[in-house]
Amino acid sequence: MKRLLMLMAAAGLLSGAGLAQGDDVEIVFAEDRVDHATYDPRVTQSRHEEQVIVQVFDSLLSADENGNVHPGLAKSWQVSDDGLSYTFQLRDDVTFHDGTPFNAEAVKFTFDTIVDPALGSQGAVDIIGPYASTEVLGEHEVRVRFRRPYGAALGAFAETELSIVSPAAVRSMGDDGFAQSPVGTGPFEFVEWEKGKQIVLERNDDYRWAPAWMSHQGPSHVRRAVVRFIPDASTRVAALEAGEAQVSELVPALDMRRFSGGGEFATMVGNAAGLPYGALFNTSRGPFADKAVRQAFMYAVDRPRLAANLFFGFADPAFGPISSSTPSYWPGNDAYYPFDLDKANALLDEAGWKIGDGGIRYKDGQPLSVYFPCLLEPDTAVAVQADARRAGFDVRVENVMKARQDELIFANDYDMLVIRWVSNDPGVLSIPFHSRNIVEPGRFKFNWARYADPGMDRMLEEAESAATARERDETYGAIQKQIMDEAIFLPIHNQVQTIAHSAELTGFRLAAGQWQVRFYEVRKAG
Amino acid sequence: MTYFVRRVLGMVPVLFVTWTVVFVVLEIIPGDPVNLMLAGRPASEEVRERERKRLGLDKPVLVRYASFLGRALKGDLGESFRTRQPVTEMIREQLRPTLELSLGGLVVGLTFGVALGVLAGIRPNSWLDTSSMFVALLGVSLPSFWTGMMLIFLFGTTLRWVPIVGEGLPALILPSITVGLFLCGGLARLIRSSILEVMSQDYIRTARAKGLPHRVVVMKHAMRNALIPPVTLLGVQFGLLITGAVITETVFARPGLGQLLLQSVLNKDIPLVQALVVYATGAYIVLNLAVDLLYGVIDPRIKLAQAS
Repeated sequence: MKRLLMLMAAAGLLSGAGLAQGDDVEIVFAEDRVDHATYDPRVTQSRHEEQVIVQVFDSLLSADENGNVHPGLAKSWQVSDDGLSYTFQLRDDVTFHDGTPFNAEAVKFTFDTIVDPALGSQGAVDIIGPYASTEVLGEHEVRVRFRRPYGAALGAFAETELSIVSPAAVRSMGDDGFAQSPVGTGPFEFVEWEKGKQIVLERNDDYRWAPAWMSHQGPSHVRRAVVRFIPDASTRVAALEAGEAQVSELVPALDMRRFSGGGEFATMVGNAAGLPYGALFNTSRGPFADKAVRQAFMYAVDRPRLAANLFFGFADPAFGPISSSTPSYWPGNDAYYPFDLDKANALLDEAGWKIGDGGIRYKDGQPLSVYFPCLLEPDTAVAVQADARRAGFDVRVENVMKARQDELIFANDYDMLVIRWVSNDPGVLSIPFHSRNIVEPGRFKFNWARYADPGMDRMLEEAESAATARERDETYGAIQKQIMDEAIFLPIHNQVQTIAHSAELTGFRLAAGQWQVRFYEVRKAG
Repeated sequence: MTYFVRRVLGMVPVLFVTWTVVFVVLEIIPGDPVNLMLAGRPASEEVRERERKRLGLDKPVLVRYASFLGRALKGDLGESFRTRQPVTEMIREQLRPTLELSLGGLVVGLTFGVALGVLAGIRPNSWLDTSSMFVALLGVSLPSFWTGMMLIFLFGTTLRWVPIVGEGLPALILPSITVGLFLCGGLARLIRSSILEVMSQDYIRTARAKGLPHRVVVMKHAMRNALIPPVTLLGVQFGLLITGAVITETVFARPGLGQLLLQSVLNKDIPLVQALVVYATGAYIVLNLAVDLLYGVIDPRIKLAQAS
């Protein structure tokens, strides 16, 4: 009996994390967020939930970490001359984790349900754009139609949110059940969700349809992957150092510097696509109603120094309304508002704001005082405050919670607010800059600059339905130029995903958008 | 027995009042639940109307109140706005880790609290007293995020004796110490003062006069009478623990009700907040009852007094 117990104990030890047969590995990924709610790609809006989704699902097309689009579940595709329909030839050797075959019907089911309001899609419904219908042309051929030309379509078909789901699994579990136990065609199968603690994934041994551009084909070397929720950054680092996790996201800058020197750990930085971390100026009230004051503020903030001081070189300063890793980034952004205190002072002098008591500027007896409630990164807000002070701004920074910020937004009681948004699509610019997204009573939206310009609205709509990539780039370029000319958004720094992992492993790859880490190609180093 | 029944019946109005207050407060605070649920996404009037119907928000307040009470009695507190899972299910999932941590903390806190308190109490103003009370003071004053991080650094990263975020009993050690240290501090100080007070009573002098050995005087005559205040404190603190130790849970990446409450408040997930309040009142009432019953066990005179 005693011997049996010892054998069982030994077997138990061997099945523990980190140990596996041959070249196989087991990994634990330290994930920052605890409050995951759904793993249905059609529903999610969270880049953290997508950390799991990207392992479990495939999309029709696949995008590498730089956003280049390649074949995925579709081998090839044709776009009609009017830009309204896309025909895909699908792979015929793919099965879902539940054993049902991947086919044209699954594609139609996925896209049709995304636009069905009953599903409650949060992200995919926007990404699929002016979707009209999907026509099944054969077992492995589909045609997707749009209501108007949709220039972003190919990129959209590669997005995680448009991953193809198993119709059989959705039908048997229902939408809510599927969100808890998703079934896709990806390199990993979803095994278990221990709420508040972790997600367990196991290798899909039948996986023979990895996109050709990846460094590895066939089933992954990772036998088992655990996404462990560790909300505290120091605990994530401690778990990594103690060998309880093999890879961690959102590693603090100081620890990144320590790990990047070689040795036991290696690091990787993702420059997230989308809106960089920055501040929207409230153009509807107070000093920021004047463009010259906004421009002066932007000249006064030394962004390269600020990014270097706060992030130890791990985050680049941002200069445009979208980050440079986003498609259709306009290079002209880089020349706008370099740090120039003299220019800031000159602009303010000209606008009638004169230096008064304590170095603060005054106009008609009113101080140049702006209210800056800050929900994200209050330390960055304080650094901005100090820079702006040198030009004579009295910036009142208040650290607020989400609920308080919502209240202030509805009451229009703020002069600047920070925003950031991870997205692979420059269409994200509509969210803070289209006038239909100005907050109305009872409808929370994100145009916190309260910027309304019919020309801007028209360009944003045109860019979304641009038929060619060139037309799209040009329109988004003009949009970015206008945002910078009007000085309604102060880009501060790129959002960075800081990854550290055990140097014994290699093959960690960022997904498109540079936030999630793909586990598929991970293997032992050397 | 009749006392027990009377106490259980006494819980009913308390629960009723708390639940009513919860309902009224959530009714009064501004914010349309449908808006919260849609999290700011633009949605057509049609979608809003459908959600409103689904949540039962199209009915008058009194009807909703009655159905809330009716469902609450049946143990159905609705669905989370965010996850669309039944909230009772979400709470049930987090009960085990919460109870594990509470019990772990209780074991550590009780062991060290009683040991330090008794040592200090029976030898007042000795070096033993001073050092015990110093440790107790550290326990109550050091914030758990700090002790937690220090324990992780020392025993997890540097010495590697115990797992930081691993599985099973070993992973419970550091969090239990973190929670237990806090419990132990308050407990030790209260036991010390309680023992000091009892030791000056006439019956202790009598016991000593009878020639009983010191050990018997302390353990049999003094301890029992000194336990009432610490048990009360323990009841309150344990109540805090079983509603979730949010900081310890965060530092050690443990699931639990503290995390759930934090997330539900941040996400404005009203049905979940509501259910957690209902759970917390229930837990406190049951715990108070248990403490009251324990008084009777510790000191039979209390039971007699209550019965008469």
